[in-house]
Amino acid sequence: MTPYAAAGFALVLIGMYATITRTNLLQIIIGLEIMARGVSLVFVLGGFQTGTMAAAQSVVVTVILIEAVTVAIALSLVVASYHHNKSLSIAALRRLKG
Amino acid sequence: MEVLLSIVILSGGALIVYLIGRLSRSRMLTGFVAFVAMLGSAHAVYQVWRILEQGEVTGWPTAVARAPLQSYLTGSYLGVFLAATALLLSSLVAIYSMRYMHRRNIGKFYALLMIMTAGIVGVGFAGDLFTMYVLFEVMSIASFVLVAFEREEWEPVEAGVKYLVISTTGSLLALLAIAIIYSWTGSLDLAAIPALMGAHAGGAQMMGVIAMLVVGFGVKAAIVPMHTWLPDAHSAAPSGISAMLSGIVIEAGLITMLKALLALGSVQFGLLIVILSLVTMFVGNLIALRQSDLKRMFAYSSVAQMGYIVMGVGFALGFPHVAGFAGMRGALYHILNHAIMKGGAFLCAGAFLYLLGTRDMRRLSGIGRRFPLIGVCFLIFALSLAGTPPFNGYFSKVLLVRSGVDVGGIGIFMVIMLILNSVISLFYYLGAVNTVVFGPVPEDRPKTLKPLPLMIVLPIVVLGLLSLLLGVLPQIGLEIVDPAAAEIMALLGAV
Amino acid sequence: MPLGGCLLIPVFGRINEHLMKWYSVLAGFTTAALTVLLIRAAAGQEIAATYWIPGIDASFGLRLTGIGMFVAAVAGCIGSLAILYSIRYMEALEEIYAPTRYYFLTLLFIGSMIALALADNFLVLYIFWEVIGFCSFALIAYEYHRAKARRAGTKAFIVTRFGDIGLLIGVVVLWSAMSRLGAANPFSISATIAAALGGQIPIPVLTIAGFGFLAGAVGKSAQFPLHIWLPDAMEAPTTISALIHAATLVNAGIYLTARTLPMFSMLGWWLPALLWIGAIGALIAALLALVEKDLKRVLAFSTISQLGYMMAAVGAASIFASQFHLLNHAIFKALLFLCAGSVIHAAHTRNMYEMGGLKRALPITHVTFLIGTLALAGIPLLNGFWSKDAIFEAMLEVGQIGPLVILILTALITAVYSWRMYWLTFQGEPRSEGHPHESPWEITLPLALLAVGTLVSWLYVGPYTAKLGLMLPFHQIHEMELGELWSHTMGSPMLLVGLLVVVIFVVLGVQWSRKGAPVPAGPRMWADLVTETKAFGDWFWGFWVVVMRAVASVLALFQTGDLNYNSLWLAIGFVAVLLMFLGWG
Repeated sequence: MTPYAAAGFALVLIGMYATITRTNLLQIIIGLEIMARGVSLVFVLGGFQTGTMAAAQSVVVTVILIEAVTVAIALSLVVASYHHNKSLSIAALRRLKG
Repeated sequence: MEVLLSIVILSGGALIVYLIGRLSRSRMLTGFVAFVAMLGSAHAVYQVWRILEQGEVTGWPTAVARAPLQSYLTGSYLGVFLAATALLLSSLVAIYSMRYMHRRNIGKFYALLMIMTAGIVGVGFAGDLFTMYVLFEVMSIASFVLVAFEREEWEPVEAGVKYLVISTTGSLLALLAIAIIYSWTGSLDLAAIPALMGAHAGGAQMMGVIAMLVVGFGVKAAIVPMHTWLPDAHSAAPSGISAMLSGIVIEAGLITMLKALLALGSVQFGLLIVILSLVTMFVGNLIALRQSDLKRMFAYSSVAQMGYIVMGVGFALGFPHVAGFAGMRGALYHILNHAIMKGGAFLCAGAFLYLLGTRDMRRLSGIGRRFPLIGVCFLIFALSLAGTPPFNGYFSKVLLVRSGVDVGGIGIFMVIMLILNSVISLFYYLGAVNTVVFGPVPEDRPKTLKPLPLMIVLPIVVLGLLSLLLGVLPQIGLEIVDPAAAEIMALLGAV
Repeated sequence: MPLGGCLLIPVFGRINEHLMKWYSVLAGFTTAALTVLLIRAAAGQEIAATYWIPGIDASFGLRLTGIGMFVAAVAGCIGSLAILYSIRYMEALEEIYAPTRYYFLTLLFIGSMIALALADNFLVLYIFWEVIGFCSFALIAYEYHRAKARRAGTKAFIVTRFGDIGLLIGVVVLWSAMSRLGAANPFSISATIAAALGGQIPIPVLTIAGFGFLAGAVGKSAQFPLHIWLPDAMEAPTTISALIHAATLVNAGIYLTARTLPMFSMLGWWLPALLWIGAIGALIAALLALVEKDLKRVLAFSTISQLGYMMAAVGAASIFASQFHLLNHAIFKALLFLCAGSVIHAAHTRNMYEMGGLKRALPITHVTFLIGTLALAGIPLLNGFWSKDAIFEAMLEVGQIGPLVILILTALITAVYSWRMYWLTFQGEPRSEGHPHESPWEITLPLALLAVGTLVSWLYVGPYTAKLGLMLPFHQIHEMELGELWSHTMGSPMLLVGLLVVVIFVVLGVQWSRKGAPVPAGPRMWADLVTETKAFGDWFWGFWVVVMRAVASVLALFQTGDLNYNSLWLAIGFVAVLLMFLGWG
């Protein structure tokens, strides 16, 4: 496993850590983005290793696109949530349980 | 070509439907156009089936023009099965939503419904890992928006946020696994990967990749403990969407997982998946026992039903030669059955919600008697979910039990647990029936309720009749399930 | 036939209520006639084998077997009488509950039972087995405004389905074994029995299947420890109780064990298990019946007890005795229940302590009930006596002394409680106000017919055994002429039991007529406690419900609703799966 791949994994772990520990919705979404960057890195590395860089590039661009859409929707939900709760903390989002 | 057509009709149709909804603001017209587009897509799927029946291959790019690394879409029996189930349910949901949804944003609703369906159809037909991922995300993103469609309420928004974060984390984990596979093989083609795995096959790293795939797609498939988003999202979504989510979206997640795992070749980890399924069904059924919210109860029961399905898949993967075919056809048949019965159950819950504006079972008490047709259908779905003949749910369970028995030993224990679970589930299904259909009418209920529109009753009755039909003549379902199961088992080297 | 018939019920119900009712009576009697004709006509051939689910090689086969036909005939005949009886009996309820549902479910119930009895296919048998379970749920909970009825229905369904876990496993295990043998129709019951007798089915498979079938039969036939649903099921309308107890539901378990007896008798433990389960169940239920104050629940306990006899008879490998008792029991128990319905109709209570002295007000019911009671107790020359005696003889023959002693003891207790039940209800002075009246002819006619049946059904033994023997190639039944039965019974030591029962009747009768009916003076703590909690098993039900709820609330704690925790669960899930996979690979 090359150090680049390790960096990719580390990014994914950092992102997951953020989703587990952060209470601010925006920070959680940033965590998701960090994960996505880590995955992209592994993809680029894969393309480099196997000599299929063109395919890897198209994949990464698509991943970025998908992430952009996801984050756009996430942010719109966060705005809606803020309108309801006047807070960005996930502590305000604990009514559905059990 | 037909494969591509089935998806393009839906996604292209989504644009048209959006415009129509925007311009005309007519629910009936918009819904009807969406329904027609789904029929068109279903016709394309039928053409794919015809081609496959003749023993030819179909895909896009077509077999001749296929690039060496990526075959975006491939016609397969599994895809036909998933597409048929999805289109059956989504076309009924389209009819149902004509009157159920508000007029505002109706174009957006139908467009998203169609895009979600397109994603599901595409996942089934995807020929390479990345296309599969993209279409999976298309399905997911559409479903995020649909869950939080009524964003004036706090509940859908809260559920939507949780669903989005958990689901995205899961798919990124799965994407990481795909990236690793890509860096090993340089290929994403589902059919080409097994040959290129080389030294990586069977090692510890491979196990890590499998774990990522199981967990990543398992989030969508609601395998415990990755199920936490499900009860929130399924109960808060508009009822038609709840029916879609429970009926086909989580199953599509499972099929995505299955396709990805099959690309890694046959590895003997089926028993572990069976253990996961056991936990899943117990957690789902036991927590469902204490729900007073009708839709939330059905949501937990979906978790349990996914447990049954995953168990069949586990038997098929773990013991392909002994019990594989029975397990796989049981799992796939249960997907079909679950789409019908759980879809129907959510539509019933939605009809009650439409009438009374509540999902609390105590306040819904006795409503099924006011509308006997819906009440009877509700009873059918509840019994069917609990696996009572002659409604459809029992037959797939018999098949699942058969696969466990064929495994023998531990398998028999597992299927005893499975049937025990369906007895436990009877507690809350009958409890719901006793309250919602037979319970006393609360005194504060208005004497006159608004009439239930035909467009809401019709899909429920159709699903109820289908439930009875497939229960009495299970062969009808097997016709479409068996080729798909045989195809998968052939991939596992057991025919 | 009734299956088709029940589908038309809602149609008729729309047209005219009266038309629908008489139509269902007609359908019932046609069915009864058909089933009886089947007995006359058939000789074990297979009928109506349609290709059903080619995907699993299942064909929808029916076969006329001796046991099946008699069970079907019992279901048809008693069922039709019960429907006739319902016409007037259910009138009081019709203002609240739509009769369409009642007649639909009743016909479905009877029809499914007949189909179950005639099926030559384990899958079909399983399906109809569940359908009658569902019908019983819906009919017990017929008066759904009462929460008690709803709960009782639910309990009946769940407890029987608990037993069905075993049945389903058994069916599938046999299916698996048969398809491994390459059988053309792996679900066929007769083919499976033949294969088992030929030693082609491995013993472990038979063991699992035997255990499973036993569990299913114990659940359905309300045997210990799954008998707990039956007393509660008394919340049903009385006609339905009669159906459940005499014609349909509970017979299914006995039928199943009898039908599969040749297959499982190869297992050493199977027959003794049946014997002991039957004997213990019979004793416990009889003891409970001694102290019960609710007329219908006494009858319920007596059903459990009599089913115990049948189960034990199967366990003694005597199909004749068990099926003969099943037939006789069906007749006299239907009679007793329908009488009880008439009594309750007149007295407006089910508590026997509030009845008494009804013999003047209800003369016909009184006489018929007396006949039923005597048959239940096993007074010589009534049908209950003959079959019970046959059971004792069979057990003596196989040398099972332990269960035999228990059952004889039970027979004596049966005499006491049945006599007590009769005495409390009909003799003595009225213990409550009100002016009960005899019921109309729709109610008394079935009573009279059943009473005649109770008196003479044992005379039918000759042709009965002949048919049984003819159509059960695997069961080894020899034809028994009436005279043979007579001399056999009269010459056996077990006749003493019958005589002892007579003695008990005389002694208690004399005593009670002098001192009045044995109504308890004060509150009887232990008796009420025992019957109210439906002892010996209800704790079992309650315990599991409590455990399930407790586990559920613990599990629900993990659904915190906190997004961080959700993510954490995902991570934990990943780590767990990873560790599992690494440990495995």
